[in-house]
Amino acid sequence: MKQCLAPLVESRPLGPGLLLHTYHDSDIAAHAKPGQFINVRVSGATAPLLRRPFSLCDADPAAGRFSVLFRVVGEGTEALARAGAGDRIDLMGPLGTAFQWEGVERALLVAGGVGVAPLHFLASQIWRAKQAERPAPRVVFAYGARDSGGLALADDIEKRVDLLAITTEDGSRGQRGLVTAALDPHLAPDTAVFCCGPTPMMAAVLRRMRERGLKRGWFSLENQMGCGVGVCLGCVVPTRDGYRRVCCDGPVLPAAILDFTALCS
Amino acid sequence: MNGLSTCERPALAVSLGPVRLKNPVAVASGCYGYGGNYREFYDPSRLGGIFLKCVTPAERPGNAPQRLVETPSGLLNAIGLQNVGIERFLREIVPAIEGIDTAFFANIGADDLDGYAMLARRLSDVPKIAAIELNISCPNVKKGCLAFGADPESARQATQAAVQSSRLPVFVKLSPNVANIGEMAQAVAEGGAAGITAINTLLGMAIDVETRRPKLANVTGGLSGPAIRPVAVRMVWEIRKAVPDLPLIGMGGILTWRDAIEFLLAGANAIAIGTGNFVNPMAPMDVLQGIEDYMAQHGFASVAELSGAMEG
Repeated sequence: MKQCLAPLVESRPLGPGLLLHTYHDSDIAAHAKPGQFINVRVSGATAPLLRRPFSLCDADPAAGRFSVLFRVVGEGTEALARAGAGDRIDLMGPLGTAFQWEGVERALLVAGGVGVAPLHFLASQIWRAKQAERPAPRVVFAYGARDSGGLALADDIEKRVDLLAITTEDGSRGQRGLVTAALDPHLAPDTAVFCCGPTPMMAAVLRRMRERGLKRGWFSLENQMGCGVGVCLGCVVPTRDGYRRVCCDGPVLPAAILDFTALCS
Repeated sequence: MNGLSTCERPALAVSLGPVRLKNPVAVASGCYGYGGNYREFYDPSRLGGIFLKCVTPAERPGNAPQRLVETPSGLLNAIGLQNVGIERFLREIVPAIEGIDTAFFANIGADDLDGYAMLARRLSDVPKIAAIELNISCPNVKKGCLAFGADPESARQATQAAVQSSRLPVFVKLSPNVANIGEMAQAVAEGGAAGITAINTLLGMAIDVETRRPKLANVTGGLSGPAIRPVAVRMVWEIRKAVPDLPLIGMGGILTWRDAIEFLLAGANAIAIGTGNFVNPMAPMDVLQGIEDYMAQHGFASVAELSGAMEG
């Protein structure tokens, strides 16, 4: 973990309101793992005050680069969206926990909307392991969004996985409906599930997993954060094991302890 | 002013009665955990002091989420004193701070006078703790705490309970949610406080206009960050006038060295950084460097000279 002023290499629009930011910092690129995040000071002013956490979308240690994908939704992301190539951005990272896929033979990655970012990184890492002829799981990637415009990086993902199942709520691409409807053919008992998206979607995925008796799963959670390093206890979520800090006990938490009932209410 | 020669570096050490800080920059309770989380950014032994996260007699799970809301230049929180309780604090936290060379203040919170007295007594035997910070100002718990900080007589009693039970000096953290902060300062001085820390958070609230629900599960919370700084500076100035000789650590929205200098000029002997750590993890080191440079530039040989040096 470190703090640095990382040059923004590229700010690339990937759809309506979606931006992919690529930064350069060799240390962060070398240490980043799928599921981890960076905490970005989006402006030098006191408003917005707090840093904004973004899941890493990819990291390339050889090029010393890493990227984040975000939707412009409020003051913080608006401020960050104004940054252009060459600007130096104050960021901390890599922070938090990562997806655990070692020893997994069958992986089902389930992404909803902009939650695709950490799973894109995971798919890339597994794909690179396969390229290097290291043991790596077979990957099915289920990707849901409201419409085809929200499916950032789908083409990129398709090249790196064994099967990509796309759903859109309006049917503009792939199967019409919610991503949870596309999971059933891929829920063999030895499957490990990796999931990130809106909370109701993650709750539905977890429910389906448990109905089918699947034990192994990792979910990437989101919450408003204060510090990002575990001191303020502001970002806790209730789990079967009590409160857990999203910033440092997570953002990736094991399915076994998750309890979305409280989070969805 | 004084005759600091141009090549001399100013003296940064600060004496707060019996407690010595190596420099005037500390970190505030609840914003730094137990000292280890920022190790990867700088050595916490470089800090003047660390105010540990509040400890209570029994373990507390804290409030239900949502616990945080960002407001204009501020942060509204209702954590609810989540902590492991005094037994685990002594067993697990105390050994973990052993390697950090700075003045540790143990922040204590309780529901009643007996609770404060018990905590103060238990901590007396911990050599690593330099002083107690009495939390009578947390706005986010149902019982105790803020109730003691809301009127002078209760504050005096809580202070006295801790002072009589402990060998350690007792600093009292004052709440800004009172009509007359000077009166509160005098009351805790009468109760035997060795010093004052101020201010805690300002009671606040935010509502989601779409759902029409309060944004915090606790409904109200404590406001911190640059938004409260002018209030904090004013209160430090008023406390200084009310208790001219009592050691005083100022805090409330400090992000940069300029902010810190304001507090010192208003009468603080040292300062603490809270929410600023979240914005800039290097804030304490940046502020310390800035204070040193300012003192050299303006000819202050010691922090004591700078403290209360506001003109007019």
